Amino acid sequence: MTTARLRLVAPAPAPTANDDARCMAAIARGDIGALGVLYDRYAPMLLRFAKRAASVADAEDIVQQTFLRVVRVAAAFDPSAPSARPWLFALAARVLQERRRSLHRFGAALMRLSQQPHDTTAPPRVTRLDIDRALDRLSHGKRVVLLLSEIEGFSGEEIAQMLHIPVGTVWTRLHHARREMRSILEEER
Amino acid sequence: MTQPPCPRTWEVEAARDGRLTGDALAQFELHVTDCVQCARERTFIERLGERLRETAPGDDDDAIVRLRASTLERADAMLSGRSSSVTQLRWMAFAAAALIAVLGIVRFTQHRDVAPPPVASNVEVTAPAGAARWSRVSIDGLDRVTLDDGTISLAVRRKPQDPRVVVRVPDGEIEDVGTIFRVTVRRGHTTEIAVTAGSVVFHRNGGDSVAVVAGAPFVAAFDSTPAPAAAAPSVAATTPSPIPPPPIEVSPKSAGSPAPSVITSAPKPLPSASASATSSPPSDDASEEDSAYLRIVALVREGRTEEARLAAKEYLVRFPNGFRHLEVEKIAKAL
Repeated sequence: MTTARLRLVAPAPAPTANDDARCMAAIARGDIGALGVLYDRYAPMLLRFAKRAASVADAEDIVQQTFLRVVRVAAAFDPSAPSARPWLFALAARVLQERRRSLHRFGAALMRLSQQPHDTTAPPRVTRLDIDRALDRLSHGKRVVLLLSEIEGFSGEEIAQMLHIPVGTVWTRLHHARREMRSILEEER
Repeated sequence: MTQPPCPRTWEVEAARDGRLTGDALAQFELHVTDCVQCARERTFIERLGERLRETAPGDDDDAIVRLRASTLERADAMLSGRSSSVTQLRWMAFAAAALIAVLGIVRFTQHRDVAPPPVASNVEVTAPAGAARWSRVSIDGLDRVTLDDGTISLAVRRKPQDPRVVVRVPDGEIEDVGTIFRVTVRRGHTTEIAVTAGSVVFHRNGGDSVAVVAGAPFVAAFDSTPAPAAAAPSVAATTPSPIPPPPIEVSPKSAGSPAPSVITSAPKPLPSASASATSSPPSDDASEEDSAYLRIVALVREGRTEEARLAAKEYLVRFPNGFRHLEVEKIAKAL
């Protein structure tokens, strides 16, 4: 029965304002196919975000937990919202926050730091490894805000709503995240 | 000589983040053409953004496809109320088969020659010939009747150890808690649930749960949002379990209530809001928080203002660090 419900969904064109609302309503009614459509639409960007905000090892589990949470709370989605993207990222941020409480990531970060080679000759150009290391050293709150702003392109007001924090806090965290990234990257040169 | 820091450096980020607009933005752009510090600051922030985007993890198509299958499978299991792990189901099936084999061996070695009693059906389903599309399956301790369209009547006589009986309709699920009842589905919507004896609970997909008792049918127009039947007594909701609850009694006090309690539910039905309900201790449980938040949203949407306000207050006490604390505070103030 489960296999019969799964179907391959071809890449869809860019969703219209109502597509996500219809999807959510269908998911709230128990439509697994609609969940698959939503997954195809947003899973890649959520996975990309989770890999940076948490770790590569945890990212898949975070994305899965996010979509399973969607099944439970799809009824609460505001159908007048233009897109489900901020809502989904807010759920992912929530899952991230819950995982952080278990110190799992702290332990994983320690493992990663201990495994990374210590390169005394820093390359002149900032590499991906430099960026990842610098991001790792940011606090969770600053890292999430920086990623949502600079990579995912959310506005400060959207981020404030997603994370349930004042917009002033978003600007403050963003400012400090940029400061710290600068000092960390300069330190590694 | 070291130049003092430019007092307008803060505008670099403000401009990038969209906080500067109009004349303020235009003036800042002019300033940057003359100020080396601000120009350098802007260059750094822009390059930081570029590097973050350039070095972002690429799409792992294999992982995405693999994750899709397991996610949808787990979601399907959640919705069906089964175990989320296929492996766990297989082990349970294996354990059940092994147990049956052992029992068979024990009986054989004891030379018992008693034919097993016939399995008595504890659910009788009747439908006028050709008037309903329905099917029935018994799996994993659940006797499930699926009604796609039409009208069927059910007579359920189950003991506590018998499987739960559930009627699956397009827009939800009706669980028998000891009753004889009739259900009608039209064009994908449940239009009537009439109980002759006992009671059922109608768990509507993505919405409320409604208790339906004898003498107070659930009736809905199929092209509008289902409304609860009028003049039904208040019924305390119960979490579905294999053991049916005691018969529901109508007390004289509640007989005049205008409507049955509509029980909000996310994964499970929750008790109706009550001013005398005691608050639960503070909790960090995410699923409980989700359920509590969904209940508030459902009450607000139904216009049950007082109950929503009480539910919001209870949420704020139970989840002081809740993810939606700010939002629920606003709801409580607005109500």
